[in-house]
Amino acid sequence: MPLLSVNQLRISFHTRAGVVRAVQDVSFQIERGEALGIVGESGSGKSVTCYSIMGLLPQPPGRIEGGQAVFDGVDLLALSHRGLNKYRGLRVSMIFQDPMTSLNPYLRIEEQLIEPLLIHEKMDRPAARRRALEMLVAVGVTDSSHRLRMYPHQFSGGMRQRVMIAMALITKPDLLIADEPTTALDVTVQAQILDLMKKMREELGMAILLISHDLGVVSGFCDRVMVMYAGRVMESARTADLFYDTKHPYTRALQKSIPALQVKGQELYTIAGAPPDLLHPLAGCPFAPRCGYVVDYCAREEVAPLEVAPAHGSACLRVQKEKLPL
Amino acid sequence: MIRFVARRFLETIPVLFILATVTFFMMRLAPGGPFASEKQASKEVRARMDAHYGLDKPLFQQYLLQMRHLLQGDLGPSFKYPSRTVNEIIAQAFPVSAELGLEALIVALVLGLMAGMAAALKQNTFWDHFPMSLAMIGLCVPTFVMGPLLISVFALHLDWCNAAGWFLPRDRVLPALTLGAFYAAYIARLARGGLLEVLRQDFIRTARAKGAGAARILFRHALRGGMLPVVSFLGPAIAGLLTGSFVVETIFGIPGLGRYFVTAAFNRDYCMIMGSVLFYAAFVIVMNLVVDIVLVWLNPKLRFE
Repeated sequence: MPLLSVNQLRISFHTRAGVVRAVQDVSFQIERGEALGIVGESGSGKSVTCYSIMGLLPQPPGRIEGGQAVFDGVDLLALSHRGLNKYRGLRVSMIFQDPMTSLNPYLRIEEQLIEPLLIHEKMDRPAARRRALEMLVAVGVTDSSHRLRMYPHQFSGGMRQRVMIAMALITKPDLLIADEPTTALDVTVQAQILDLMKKMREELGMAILLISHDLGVVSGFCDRVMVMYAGRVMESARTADLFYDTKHPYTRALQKSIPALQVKGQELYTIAGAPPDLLHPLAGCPFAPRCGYVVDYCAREEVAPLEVAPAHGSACLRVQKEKLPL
Repeated sequence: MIRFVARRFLETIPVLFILATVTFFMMRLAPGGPFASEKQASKEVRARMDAHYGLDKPLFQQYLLQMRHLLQGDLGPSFKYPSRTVNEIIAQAFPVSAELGLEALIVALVLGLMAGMAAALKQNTFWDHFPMSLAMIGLCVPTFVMGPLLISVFALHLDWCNAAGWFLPRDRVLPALTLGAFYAAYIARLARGGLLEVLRQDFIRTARAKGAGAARILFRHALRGGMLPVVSFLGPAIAGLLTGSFVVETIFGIPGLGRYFVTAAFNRDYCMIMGSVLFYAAFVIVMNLVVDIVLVWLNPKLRFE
């Protein structure tokens, strides 16, 4: 049984302009100890998917229209906030994109770091404090006993993200959801944070759900990758298969867009057009208007990911029907 | 921190000095004088009274004299209430006003904070709209309407308490409600706004992700930041409440300081005016200093600057 199994998740936002279908029939599984990457551009539904698992979706305007997120046999989406609080922060933790705003500026690092222990493990303060010190050392914060007494604004961005990681992992969770954990950091710090997450994963053995829009980050980190576009899963496969045996034109186009892989001096490759308007979803494949392989039935038939190779799903109709080579 | 407080204290000296100077000359620019209303007094009597209080001396000399007295903490004699000094009047009336103000402050804080918190946590529901409508009424209805309204309902019709007076503990209820209503309304709106601002911050989402319950999120994570606007407002509010309200004291017949403040101006009771201006100013300055200290304590970012 997978650790987390998300089935047919549908999420929409009810705005004044109309209903935005942010996530449509998204399904995926994570095994214990596995690292799954979710890649997609802004608005592809990757963050919304994870927020809904953690019960952090603002409702309203957000609404979970259907589906399940079964974690260790329990559907997290069906739980009340009180019920969910037995899982989040204890067995499922999350770190966020912007470490500058994700820590409480009014509380000492110590208070925030030990909070999961106080909430979930009813630990007394001295014991919690010792664990917090160990965690800070583990995430590479030097002079940690002094740092515990400090406030977030006295930390740099990279240090804050280390604190966030320490806080998320202090209860030794089974699953860590990382929502673009390196996006707000500068490049050298990005590499450090990724290395740290790898190291912590080796030590604690938790599963990781890494959300990113950076294919490079995901390829170096994850066992499996899922590509999302317009609220749908386009392709999911083991990392090597996704890059070397691509089964969806969108994934292929994303790879071609990586600047480092392109010939220097030439105009950079970009995917023509813009992401679809989720207020007015098109019939058929959402990528059809921008796809170089489009044929007439792409804009007509419903798309859903199917297994087109072992452990390799693709939502491309042509790949499914014609074994289109990419 | 000690340096900060010491510097702020030193800063109050020029403020009070300038205020005293401006007040002195503005009083003297106003037509009339303390004894202008005593019609029967002959020229000779008037001259002797002026001489007794030193009002016959050149203006600048009077100014120097008054400043010297003020430096010694002597606010001078009252012209309207002979044989009583301004110091005595303030010492006698201030405790009454302070008690009323304190009770009104408690009313304002309890009602205001509860309403504000409920409204912020249940935004756009009945628990937001209902208290906020009441707050709007509280802001709009002046005390001279609120007072008589409360009297007619609770004293005259229901006969729960006296219509006026300041003798029994229950005599405190209506004045405190009347005086506190506006402040409660204001605090409710500030608390709601401040909390809503904090509740949509990223770090609240972090706290939720950690599994913190609603009470923990409110009291541990949101309240500090959310109370900043309320605390800022409390400085001048407390000064205003404790130094007395002319309207409320008049409606309920309370022997407080507010009445002296206002009648002093009508009576051209020079020393009383000066005394009340300086007393109120010193109060506002001290309360603002206290508020600044509390704000620094609440907000660690300020603490290290």
